[in-house]
Amino acid sequence: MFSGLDSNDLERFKRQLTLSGYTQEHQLKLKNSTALIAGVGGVGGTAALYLAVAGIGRLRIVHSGALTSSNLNRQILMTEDWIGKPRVDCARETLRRIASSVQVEIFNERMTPENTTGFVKGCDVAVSARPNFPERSALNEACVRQGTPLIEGAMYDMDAYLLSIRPCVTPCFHCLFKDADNRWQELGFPVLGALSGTLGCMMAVEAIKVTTNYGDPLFSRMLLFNLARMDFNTIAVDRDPVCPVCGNRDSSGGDKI
Amino acid sequence: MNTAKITVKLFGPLRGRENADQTLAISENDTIQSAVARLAIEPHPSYLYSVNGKHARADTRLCDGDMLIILPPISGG
Repeated sequence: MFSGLDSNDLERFKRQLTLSGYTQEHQLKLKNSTALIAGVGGVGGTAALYLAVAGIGRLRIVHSGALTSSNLNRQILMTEDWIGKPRVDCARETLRRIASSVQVEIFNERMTPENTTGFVKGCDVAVSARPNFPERSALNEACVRQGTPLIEGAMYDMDAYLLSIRPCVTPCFHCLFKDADNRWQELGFPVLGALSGTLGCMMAVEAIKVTTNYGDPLFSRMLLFNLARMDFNTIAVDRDPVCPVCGNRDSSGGDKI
Repeated sequence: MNTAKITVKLFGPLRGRENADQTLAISENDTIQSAVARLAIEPHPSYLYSVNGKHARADTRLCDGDMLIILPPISGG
């Protein structure tokens, strides 16, 4: 389905092909990669945008619900004329206008333990940007089962965290967060678009690094920052040896013998 | 007599409106768990703790000059 780099690719991406250590081989890997975008809001929509303009081959976007006016302070793929209509359709239209060669699959659904395995199947990386714990947890479990790398990032107010997960090699989401905080309000958290966009850009960078084997991804490290004070912290994080999600599996996602 | 102190960085909904770090006086046997109680934070099994940049359990002992980070599970996306 995908192919090698053509003359259009070499012209379009020539500025990133001069990045230190980034070669045509990296670009080809990106072109032949599929990223699952779990949530196309302020974080996931920005990640999708920057993966698209970087030249990823295919995006599979999962997000339920219609666009409202209050989404427009941060959801950068959305346009005013789309209010009241499904966000995934608007995301695909915007991405087509900006990067027409990217294949975009859309699903106007929430992620559940039942359907998430199917969304992850065939993806080279997943970007976790749903605004609630259950969908993040379902995505983590599906990625662990299939051995699919996961870029996990979330924000609240002026704070955000980010880490990359190599299932059964580095800590998974459940190694770090056991249960939801039932005080969390999916539609009520404070958000500035420039902050969610910053996190989304960082998640796109991590997804590119993981899919192309470029640079040094945030495996076993969590970046935690507050943009009100521009305070950045890195934490070395550990796997939970008895994690019920990844603790009894090997790095392919299969059960340990 | 010198008083042992740690710096505490709270994230997410635990952080106050002032976006500031806190300084907390500790005693010899204080752990993260007791510091959390002293900060009047309701404990939660999903809080992620770090001391001096390393992932830490709630029973980790605290020392003068430590930097404690407390991150609750946030999900903004």
